[in-house]
Amino acid sequence: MSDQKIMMLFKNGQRDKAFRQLYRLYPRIEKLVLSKGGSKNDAQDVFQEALIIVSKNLEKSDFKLTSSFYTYIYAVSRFIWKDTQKQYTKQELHSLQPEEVDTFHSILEEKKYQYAEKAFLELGERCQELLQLFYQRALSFKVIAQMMQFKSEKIAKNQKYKCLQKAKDIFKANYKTVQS
Amino acid sequence: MEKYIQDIERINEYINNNLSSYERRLFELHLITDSKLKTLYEEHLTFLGGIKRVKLKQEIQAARKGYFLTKWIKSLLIGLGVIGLALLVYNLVFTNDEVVPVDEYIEESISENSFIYSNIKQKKKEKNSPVNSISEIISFLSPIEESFTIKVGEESFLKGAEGTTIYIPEYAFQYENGTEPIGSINLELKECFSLTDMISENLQTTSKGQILETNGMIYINAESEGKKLHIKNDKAIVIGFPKKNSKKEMDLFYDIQINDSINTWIPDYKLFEANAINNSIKEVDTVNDYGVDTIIELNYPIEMTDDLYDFGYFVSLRTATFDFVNFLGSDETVVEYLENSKNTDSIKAYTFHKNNWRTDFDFNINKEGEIINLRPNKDVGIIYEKGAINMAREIFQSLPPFDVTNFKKDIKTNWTYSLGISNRRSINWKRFKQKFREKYAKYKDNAIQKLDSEALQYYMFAATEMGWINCDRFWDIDQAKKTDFIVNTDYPNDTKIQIIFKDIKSIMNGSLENGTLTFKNIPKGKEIRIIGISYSNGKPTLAIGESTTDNKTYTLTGFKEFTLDQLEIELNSLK
Repeated sequence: MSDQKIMMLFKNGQRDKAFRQLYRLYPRIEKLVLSKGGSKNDAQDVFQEALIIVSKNLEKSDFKLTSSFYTYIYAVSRFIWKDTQKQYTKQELHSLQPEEVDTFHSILEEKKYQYAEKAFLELGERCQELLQLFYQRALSFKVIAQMMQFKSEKIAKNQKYKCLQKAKDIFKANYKTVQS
Repeated sequence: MEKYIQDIERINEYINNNLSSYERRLFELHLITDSKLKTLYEEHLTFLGGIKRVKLKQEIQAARKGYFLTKWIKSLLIGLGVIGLALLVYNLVFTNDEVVPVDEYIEESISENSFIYSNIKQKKKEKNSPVNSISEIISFLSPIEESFTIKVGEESFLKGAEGTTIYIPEYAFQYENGTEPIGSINLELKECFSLTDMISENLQTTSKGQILETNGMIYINAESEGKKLHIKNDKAIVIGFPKKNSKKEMDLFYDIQINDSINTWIPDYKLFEANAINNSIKEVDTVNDYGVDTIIELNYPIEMTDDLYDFGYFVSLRTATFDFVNFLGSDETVVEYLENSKNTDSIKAYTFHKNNWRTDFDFNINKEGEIINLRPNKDVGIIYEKGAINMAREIFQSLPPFDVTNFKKDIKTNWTYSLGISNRRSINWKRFKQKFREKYAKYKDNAIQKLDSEALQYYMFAATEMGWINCDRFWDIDQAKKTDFIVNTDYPNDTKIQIIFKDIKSIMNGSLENGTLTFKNIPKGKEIRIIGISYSNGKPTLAIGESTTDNKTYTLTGFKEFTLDQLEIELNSLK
């Protein structure tokens, strides 16, 4: 499938199909990571992270993909692996090209979302389910109350905000620890 | 905690674009001036980004599994292919068995996970065979007929060959007499998503003369033990129309027969009205004509509360002048102005309605066109409520002056003019639709929950009727930008002509008038294709033309005999 068709899949909200098409590029990314001393598991993590960054960037109105998907994903994967290994030298950072700077920023920006993700995953299962039903599936509190067997909509609503506050507290604690 | 909840709700409303433009600006101003709100907003965005990562990872994991499964299946198929080829070569070289021809009709039935797939009859197409009859064309073009069998007391999830999903709750059906089926239920489904499907079924996409843009249509029917079934009054089935790359908001439409030869599409939430009108027309036809007005009795499908109405005024009394004289600097008359809900203070209009008020005034008009000497009318013989008089006086005194200079007849300053208003209400269809859809929301929510993230790929509707069902939206066009388009052909009585718009998926049938085929009220300046199938000299012939609707007429010529292969190529080049 051509890059143009994959782009259309992203634009039309068929992200899962787009990811399935992009997974054909995985063997080359695996080869890259293995050649840099990583394992197959590392390669899967790097590729996954690269797909997340590609997907999020495509949603930005000011982002334009100026190369093929393969070229872009390869470049992003290379940065991610280097960042994982903390292999950047000051000289390298100073001599980045403008499009490389953008990619680097995307990776750095994604770090705080990684902490937010970890904070979410540290919540109990019921909290996770509640927040996903509200934010991902956009269900009403009435439906959520029925599905999760809360006594009322109001209770579901209050519980959701408690879970949200807890996730944010965990995030703040973890993020501060890293930053200090 | 309360303040926190309120702030988060505002932030969610802002992110989901549910605020009015004024509220949006206010929120953005607060983000600048209130640092705590800004911090909360940024934290919330980060948190949402984290949740999104969880979802993205789930999708990527699913894609990974799909990729490796496909890779494994391909390898397996290649392996089997090699073995199969080897066996074939062995058979051809080393045996004398005759090859038995494969049966022309292939029946498949698959049941996988929770979806029920259909029994489909697939016909082999004969390439390059000439067409000998219209029925042969229709048979070739017509969509596949699919059948399903489900159990009465079990909920079912069906999937059509073109991707339509249908959720059927348990005990959803009844016979016409209200009794319930006890045996298994047979469902018939036809899916029409391409224009060729619609052409073959003679479907068009218009609703009472308004053009619809379609995302696709299905036909569904149910029966048990040979008798037709209906959906129970308090139940609904849920239909998922695949989105087919569309992001536009769509509605559900049902097919209604207006008279013996004309069908139209009616939005689901207006079906009760269309049925009532149809029934009343049938009643009037069978009753002696004594010139009696027939009031149509409507049985609303939902409880009609005040919030479902827009309240306004009806001009109950007027001197004939007011149908013609405009306001100064406007092309609106006072009658149009008072009856236009955009000019109405909804609270005042509601008060008028609640009290069942009516007020008529007499007044004079001065040289400047202003209303003066306003006093309650005495000729009508009604005693007006004080509250009604006070409220109506405020409304009349706030009216702009009349354009007395440009009015072709004189406005006499010594004449007494009369104007009155009474209460009026009309259904706000947007709110009505929302409440109507809420009535069956539990079925839709149930279906969405079962489909999970796959639901995003469908337009999901709860349907209370069967037959032809359409997933469409109105193509909004100003009346001033509409025109009629006429197609001339040699044999208009024997020719089926349809036009297809290139901009949107929409197809229209022409109506035969004065020996020509007319397409009424279509938008100006649009590119169209004109498809004609004619039957002359014992053979069907085809002609396809292109035009724009700015050309008032078009002559379709060049009808030629055709093969099914040629027809398929021509029609497949349509949307």
